[in-house]
Amino acid sequence: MKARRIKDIEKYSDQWVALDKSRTRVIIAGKNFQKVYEEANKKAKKSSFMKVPRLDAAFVGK
Amino acid sequence: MSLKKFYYTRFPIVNSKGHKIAEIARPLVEIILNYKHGSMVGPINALPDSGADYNLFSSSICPTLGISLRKGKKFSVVGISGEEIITYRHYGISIFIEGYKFETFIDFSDHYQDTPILGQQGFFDKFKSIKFSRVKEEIILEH
Repeated sequence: MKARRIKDIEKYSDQWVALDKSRTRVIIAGKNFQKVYEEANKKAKKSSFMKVPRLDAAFVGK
Repeated sequence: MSLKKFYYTRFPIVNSKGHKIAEIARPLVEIILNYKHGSMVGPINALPDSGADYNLFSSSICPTLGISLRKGKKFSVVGISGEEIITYRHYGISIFIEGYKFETFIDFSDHYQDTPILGQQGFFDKFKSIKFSRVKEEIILEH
């Protein structure tokens, strides 16, 4: 199994997050993509961005 | 032939008290977006969804890309709930995946705020094959 897990991701349900270069830790989080994007780019290079799904429900497609 | 490989991402499912009750794995891929020679935005994690007809993204990404949402072509899409949502289609968007670039279109919506979805038209049709291995927890994109 090579799937990644993101540390403490349950704290960020339904938020945009910036992940560090290892893609396993959240460095910035918030409701607004642009703010998260701008803050992350000031703070760190090689960030990756993710909209964390709602973690109180599974997804079955739109 | 060139292959791009990504691994699944695992997420906990929690109950109303925040306790983990299950775990799911999603085949997310990292994409970088560019609109009409603006800045490169990303990488953003997006979900290749073979059951989706089109690419569907939250409108919250539009300002960063330099896109005026309502200048796009208006469409509506229907999800599993049967609910119809209004989308605005924008053309001339480049997607980069580990150096592979293609031009496509994306439907953006104020009414969709979840993980960006990559659908059959505008994403799957840009590759020779897309293989999901649930056992290996990997996605392989061939172009």
